Amino acid sequence: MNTLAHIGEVRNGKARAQDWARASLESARAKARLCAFTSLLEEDAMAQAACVDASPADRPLAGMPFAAKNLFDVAGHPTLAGARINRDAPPARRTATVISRLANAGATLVGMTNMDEFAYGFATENAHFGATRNPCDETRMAGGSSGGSAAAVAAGIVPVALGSDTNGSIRVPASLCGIYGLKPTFGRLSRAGTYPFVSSLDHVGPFARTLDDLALSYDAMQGADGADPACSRTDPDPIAADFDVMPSDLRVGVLGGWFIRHAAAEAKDALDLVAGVFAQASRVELQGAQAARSAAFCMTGIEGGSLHIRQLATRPMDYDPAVRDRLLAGLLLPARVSELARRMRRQFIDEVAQLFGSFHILISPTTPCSAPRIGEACVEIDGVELPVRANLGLYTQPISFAGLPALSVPLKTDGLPIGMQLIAPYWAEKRLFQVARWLERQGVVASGTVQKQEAVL
Amino acid sequence: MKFAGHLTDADRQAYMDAASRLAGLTIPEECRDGVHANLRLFLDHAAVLDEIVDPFRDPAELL
Repeated sequence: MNTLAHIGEVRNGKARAQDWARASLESARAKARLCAFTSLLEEDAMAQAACVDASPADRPLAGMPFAAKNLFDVAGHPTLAGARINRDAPPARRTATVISRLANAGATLVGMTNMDEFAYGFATENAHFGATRNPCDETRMAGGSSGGSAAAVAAGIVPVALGSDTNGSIRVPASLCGIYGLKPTFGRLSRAGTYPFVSSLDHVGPFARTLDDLALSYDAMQGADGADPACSRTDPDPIAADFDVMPSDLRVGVLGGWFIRHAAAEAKDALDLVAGVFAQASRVELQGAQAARSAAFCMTGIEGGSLHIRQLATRPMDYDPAVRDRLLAGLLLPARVSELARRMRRQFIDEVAQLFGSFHILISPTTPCSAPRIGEACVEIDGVELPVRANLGLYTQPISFAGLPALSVPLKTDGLPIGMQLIAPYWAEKRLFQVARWLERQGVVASGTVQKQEAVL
Repeated sequence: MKFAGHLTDADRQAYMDAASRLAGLTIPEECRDGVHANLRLFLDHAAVLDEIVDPFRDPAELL
C-alpha cells in the first residue's frame, strides 16, 4: 500500500494513525545503526496520532509519519542544530511553522534527524552525534547537511522528512541516497522556527521516495508567514493534483561548462541519459557559475561566522573542528568580500533570467559523483583528487545562490544512486514536478526499489 | 592584481591576528593552522569574484 492509499485508510477509519506512527518508531529503532535520528519523539508522536484518529476525515496527510532535521524547533524540546553546545539550550517555546502546518494536515512527527553541525557541510559526519550511514550502502555517507532526513526516507522509516538547503543540503543527500529532494524558490516556504545558518541563502524543503508524497507534503507547507521576513506573500500554488501533464514544446538547457567540470563518469552518464530523452535539449553554459559558487562560499562563511561570533569567542573548543575553523576564518574576511559576493548575486541572477528567456528548464547532475565512503577525505574524479566536503555541492551552490527552485530526482540505476538536478524559473515548482513525472514515465527516474520493499507505509 | 594575491603566509598570519583582535576573538593555538588554511581558501574564492564583478553593479537582491 502506498502512502496516499494509507492516508485514505486512516481518513475513512480503516487504519489508525497510532499504528502507523508506532510502526515508524519501531523501524527507526530497528535501523538505529544508520544514525539517521538524534531523538525519537515517541510521546509527542503518539499523542498527535491519537488526535488524528479522533478526527481524521478532513486531514490530507492523516496519520503520515514524518521526520525533521534537528534544526527545526519543536515546542518543549531544545533545538540542537547538530551542535553539542545546544544540548544546554532551553526548550523551544513554539514549533516551526512548516512542522505545525504538516501536523495540522494530520501528519505525525516521529523524530529529529542527524545533520552536519550548524548545517555547515555536505557529509553528515557529525563530530558529536556520529556519521549517518547511507541506506543504499552503509559503508558510504548519506550526504549533508540534511543527511539524517535523507537516510530516514531512503531506509523506508518515514515517507517524508524535512531538511534545509543553504548551498545544497537537501539536494546533495537526496542525490546520494536515491530519493527526491525539493529546494523551493527562496521565500516560498517559511523558515520561522528553524535555526538559521545564512539567512540570505537558507531554504527549507521536503524529501520523499515518491513524487506524490513530495507534492502532498510541499502543498501542506505552503503559504505566507509573517514570522519569516523572507517568506513571500504570494498565494500558494498547490501542485499535488495537477502535475501529470508535461508542458508542451519544452525546451531544455543541458548545463555544461562548470556543471560537468569535475564530474565523475556516473554523473556524466546520468546527464547524457536524461538529456537524451527530451525532444528539444541543447547544451548551454552559465558563464558566472564558478563565480556564483565562490560568492556563495564566501557569503556562507561571512554570515555564518557573524551568527556565531559570541559562542566562537567563549566556547570555540565545543564546536566541530572543521566547522569552527571555517566559521572563524569567515569572520575575519574584509567587508569588500561581502560586497563582491552581493554584487555577484545580482549579476548572476540577471544571467540566469536571460537563459530562462530561451529555456523552460535547466538540468545538471546534482552531485559530481555518487556517495563517497564514510571518512573519505578526497575522491578521485578524472584523475584529479578533490576534497569531498567542499566539492559535493559544486553544482548545487550556484543554483541556491540565485534562489531558484530545484528538484533532485533519483536516476534509475543498478549501481549507487545519483541524482539529476532540475532547475526552473522563480516560482515554477510545478514545472519541476511535471518534468519529473514525465521522466518517471520515460523510465529514467525512479527511487530505489530495495528501500521501498522495507518501507513503513 | 588578484584579490589579496600579494599576501605571503606570514602576511596572512599577521592579518589573522589583527582581524581576530578587532573582532574580540582569541584564536586558540590548536585552531590556527585550520583557520589559516580556511582564510586562504576564502581569499582564493574572493579572487575569483574580483575578476568578474562589476563594482558599479547594483547589488539589490529582490528576486
